[in-house]
Amino acid sequence: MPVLLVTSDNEQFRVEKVVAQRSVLIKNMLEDVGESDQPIPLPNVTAPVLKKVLEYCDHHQTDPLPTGDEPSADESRKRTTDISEWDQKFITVDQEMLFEIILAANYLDIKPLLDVGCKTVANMIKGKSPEEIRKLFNIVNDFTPEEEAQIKKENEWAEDR
Amino acid sequence: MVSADNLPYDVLPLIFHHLSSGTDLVSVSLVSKSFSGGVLPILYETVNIRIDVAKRLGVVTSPFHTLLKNVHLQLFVRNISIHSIPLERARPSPAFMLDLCKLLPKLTNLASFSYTVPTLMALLPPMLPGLVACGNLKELKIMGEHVGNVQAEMLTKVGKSGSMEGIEHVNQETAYSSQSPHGLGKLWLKNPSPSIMQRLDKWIEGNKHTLKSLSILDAPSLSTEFLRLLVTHVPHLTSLTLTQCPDIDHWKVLGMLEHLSDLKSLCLNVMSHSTPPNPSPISTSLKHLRCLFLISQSFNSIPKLQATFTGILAPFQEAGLESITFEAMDSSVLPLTVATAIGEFHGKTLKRLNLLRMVASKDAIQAICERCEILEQLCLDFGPEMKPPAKGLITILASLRKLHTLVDARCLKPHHDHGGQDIRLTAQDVSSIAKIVPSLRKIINANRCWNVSKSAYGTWVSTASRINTTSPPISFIRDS
Repeated sequence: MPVLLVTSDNEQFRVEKVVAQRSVLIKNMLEDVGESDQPIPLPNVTAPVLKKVLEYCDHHQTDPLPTGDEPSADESRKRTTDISEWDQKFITVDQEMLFEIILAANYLDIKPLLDVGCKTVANMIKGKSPEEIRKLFNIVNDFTPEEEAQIKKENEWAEDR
Repeated sequence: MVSADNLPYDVLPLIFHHLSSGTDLVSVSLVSKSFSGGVLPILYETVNIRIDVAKRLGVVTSPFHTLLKNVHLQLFVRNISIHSIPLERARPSPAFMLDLCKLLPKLTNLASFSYTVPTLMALLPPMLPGLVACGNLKELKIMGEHVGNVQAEMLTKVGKSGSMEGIEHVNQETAYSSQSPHGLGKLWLKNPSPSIMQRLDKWIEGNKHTLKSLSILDAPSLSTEFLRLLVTHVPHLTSLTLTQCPDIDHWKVLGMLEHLSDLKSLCLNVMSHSTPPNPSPISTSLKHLRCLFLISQSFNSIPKLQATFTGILAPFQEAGLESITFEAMDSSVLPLTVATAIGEFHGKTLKRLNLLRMVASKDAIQAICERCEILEQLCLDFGPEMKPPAKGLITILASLRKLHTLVDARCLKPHHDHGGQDIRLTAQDVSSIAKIVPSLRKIINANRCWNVSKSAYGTWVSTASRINTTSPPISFIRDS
């Protein structure tokens, strides 16, 4: 049975329940409401982003759902580059869309998609200096020179040599 | 417009958790205030003082000093591992030790503490009051050689500050379903002092509701009878390691495993002088055992080695081992019959096989490959036959369709005491091997970890990174 999703910019998406339920948020909403043809409002997601998210959910509709027994943060850190070929192609988007997907995956509670987005950003950061990271993401350095020196001094021990 | 700089505070750490290099985490901390706020909790989650870190601490600020100054970060510290300490005039730095002792009682979320500094000085005892105050400690790994009576008494209280009394009086079922019972879940003890040994029974019994993993190393006074007593306290143990305990006979340990039906991982020394009893003392009720790690003394009689290893492998057939590690104290040869027994008894379930200082002939590897169809990791000494253009052995490995990791056991040894010449693979060699064994994703050889992947053009490419040679070989095998 299809489900009707309404985005923040009032666009409607009719999708199969099995696809929509990749989102734990939507799955819980459907379980709470029961059988209903009422549209589900998604006020934090725009149509272009939802379209992209649904493309992911559709491709992964038969994957086993996360069980809650996921590896610890330490373990998942070791698998940073572990992104499947399809996912890599899917997440090759401009930076704004990448962050929009991360936000949507976080809001809709789609953990595997959130992981793919976060790993992609982490891979962009790897090996770069603070200045290169600022340039990459267009970030303004809001530290005073003294604050920056202090942070460097306090955390220098953690650098790999 | 969404950008990296205005992502919500709860999303930034999700990204930074995927950074494994300390240098990357430090770089992120210097980008902006929001990035710093997102990454510092991750940077201080695990404080690992390795040899290279300890060497630098003479000139850079110690993490313990930083944590004492930044109270808000103390909450995030979950794991501390100290493998080395900074020295000042050939003595442990007093400032470093003082900061650590002052900090420990403030770390309310510390879950794991490891102190494995080989030293003749008694540096652990001053830390103990702080460790006792850490009410959430679940894992403790220590060298216990300088612990006297008072400190040993203190040790028995580590991980239990809070409401332990409540647990003692409830029935066992309630205790196991309790949300977070106080007590240690994992205890690793090397060189325990006589004072610790005197209290070990009481200590283990005090943690009987929580203890799942017990490791005792280098304990000459540990007897089989005393071990039997300890084991009866913890019937739900899932991991047991006993090495360098000369009074412990491996057959007697294997016989007492019937009390530990939940056991998943077992690491033991096997003694050459002990004869396999008939019938085997190994209980068939050990259905959960998945990992077996045997460290053998030099066997002067091959038939005895065969009888010992096959005598241990056969009764675990019903359990179906997923990981087998054989380590020889002195270089020895894996008998063909043992290789055949690995395949015969555990071929359907075995995913990881590590042979350390145990040379396997081509015939032995073939016997393993023929039966172990789902093997994913193989660790063995790389000889000339692993270096292209040689193909014989590599072609045999190609029959392992799931093999993704190949490790050269020679590079994991603490000392290069083996004979023969080390084999150093080049990028081209790695690509050639990957062409023949297409399932391979990782090859570890001569301090290099080669990651292999298939490019869009169908060719195999490899990239190398240095492996941490300071890791003890055993933990490296387990981690990988």
